[in-house]
Amino acid sequence: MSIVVYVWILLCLAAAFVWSPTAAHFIGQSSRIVFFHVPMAWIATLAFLLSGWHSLRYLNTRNLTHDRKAKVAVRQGLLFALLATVTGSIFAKVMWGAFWNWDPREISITMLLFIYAAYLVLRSAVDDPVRRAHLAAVYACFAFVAMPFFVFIIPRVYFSLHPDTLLNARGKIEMQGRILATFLGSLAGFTGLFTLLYRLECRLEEILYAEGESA
Amino acid sequence: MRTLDAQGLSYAFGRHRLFADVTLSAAGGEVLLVRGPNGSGKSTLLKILAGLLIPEKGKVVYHDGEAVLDAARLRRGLGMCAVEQNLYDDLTALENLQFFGRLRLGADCGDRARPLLERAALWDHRHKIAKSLSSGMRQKLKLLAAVIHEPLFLLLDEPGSNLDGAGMELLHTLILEHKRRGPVVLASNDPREFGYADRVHTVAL
Amino acid sequence: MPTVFTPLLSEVWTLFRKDWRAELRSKVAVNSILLFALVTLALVSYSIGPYRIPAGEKPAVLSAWLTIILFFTSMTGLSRVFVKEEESRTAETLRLAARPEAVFLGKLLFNLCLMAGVTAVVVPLFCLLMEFHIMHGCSFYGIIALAMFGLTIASTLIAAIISKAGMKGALFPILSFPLLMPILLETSLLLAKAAAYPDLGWLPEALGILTSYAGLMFIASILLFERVWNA
Repeated sequence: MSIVVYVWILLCLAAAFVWSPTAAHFIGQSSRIVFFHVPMAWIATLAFLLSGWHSLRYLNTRNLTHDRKAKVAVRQGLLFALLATVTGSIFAKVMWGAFWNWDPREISITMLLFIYAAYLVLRSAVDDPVRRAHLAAVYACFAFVAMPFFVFIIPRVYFSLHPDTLLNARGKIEMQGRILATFLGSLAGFTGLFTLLYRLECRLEEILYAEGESA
Repeated sequence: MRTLDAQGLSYAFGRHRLFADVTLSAAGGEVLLVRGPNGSGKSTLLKILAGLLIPEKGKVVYHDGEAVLDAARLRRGLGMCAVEQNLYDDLTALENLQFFGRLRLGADCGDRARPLLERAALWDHRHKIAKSLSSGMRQKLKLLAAVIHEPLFLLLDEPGSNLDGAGMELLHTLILEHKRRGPVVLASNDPREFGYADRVHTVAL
Repeated sequence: MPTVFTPLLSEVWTLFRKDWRAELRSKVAVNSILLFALVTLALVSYSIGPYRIPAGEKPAVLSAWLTIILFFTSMTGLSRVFVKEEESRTAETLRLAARPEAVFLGKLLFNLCLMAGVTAVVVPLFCLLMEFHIMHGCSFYGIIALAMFGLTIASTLIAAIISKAGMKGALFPILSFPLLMPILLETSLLLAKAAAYPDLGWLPEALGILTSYAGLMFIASILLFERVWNA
């Protein structure tokens, strides 16, 4: 599976820079960033959902495997949230002349960053593994409840500079042809990449845990 | 008959295993003494029996006749006095006792605090805040807080620490009174308390 | 078999009275939270003052400042209800004696009273010192009350979490900030509107958002608290 994902990503890169045209109403080549920025933001959100799910599973089953999976999801979500923030800032500089505009969606992604970081800081502040798992799981579930306010309510209520080609009040995806194809391909590629990285790190965590048990 | 049954209890702190496959039981009318060297897990065992810690394996069941006590009934029916558990420093002796009484008994608490404080020779100190009491007085107060609601099951962890002769007499009386209601599990290495035991369970390292 | 159960409200009241009585004796939380609020207020007043902000910007800027002051004030004192139980080793005693939902509600009630008292002092003082003229006073104070309600609910659960961890002082704002950000952002914007907008057509939707936040946080806290308390 990993070979398929790597080849797919390479194809998406080629399509993003060569095959796909630029979109109208964007400055220069800046629209191409949508092929990276949006999938990264999607993965950051997916990782968040995954961490919430495994946190809930841990609270129900007290199985530490779920705690480890939640931790891995948060770590990788942090990486993708950071990448989404950086790519978004680059786009903002080109389009609106400033790296940061305090746009509601920019705020949403930074809040996700803060939640991820807070989760990891909380874990580092608790020594007992069972207590750590409990507290981290509760925090993740609590954050899950607060997130709809960032993701759905605030960006809808307040004016945003963000292009709304994907998530908009009209309920239409405003991309066509090669741009849409490249975008969907990139979305699939990043999802595959995240799946690979996630499974790899989960296996690594299990090995480290098993070594700790037997040591 | 009120009984406490613990089956196959195992517990570890991280990689350090405290005990494994501990099985014990105690019935109404008897005092079970839990002995063991320092670090053998006596206090941890008592916390597991009280439901404060979840064991890796095994379970603890409290019976009141045919009925099994759930968490809510256990909160009303269990009394515990342990070294690591404190009273409220900013409340007076009387306020501490009334607080724990009202939590479990609500309006039925009445004036149970006064006779208990008098028995423990603490009535004259009832308006002193807990942190100003001597260690022996605090220990007596902790014992009273554990029994104010007349629990069915009593767990005592080193209850004689800091107690003088009169304090040990009080402890002995409380244990004898409680034995009529239900079992007492007493964790101790104090020879003064060995005489209370009807049976002994040794926790080994 | 013990069949007498203390009603939940009675337990909550007993727990609240215990905390209130202890606080009236020591006054640690009240003093620290109030002094912190006054110090911050003084700092804002000295450094900006009411006359350096252009009149048109005043509602937005002052609303933001007020929200920030109230947030950091809450971070100073709202964790004490749980941290104190762990540090003075009374948490286990309480776990044996009281049901978890009663503990949470009792502590929440205490924190609500604390925040209500501090807000009642800080907000009028802020408006006085910063020459903050409010067009719709009832809406303004209503928004603050509802926002602080939601903030206190979320902060109380976070306080329970950090009380069982190390680095409690630093951890509290770190964990709280991301979760409180929606309510802080919303409050700042709404206070500016209450101060300066001539009509109140925006108010029902605003109150809906604040109420739904407080409601969701409350339900989540009640459901999750037992796991934290027994961790």
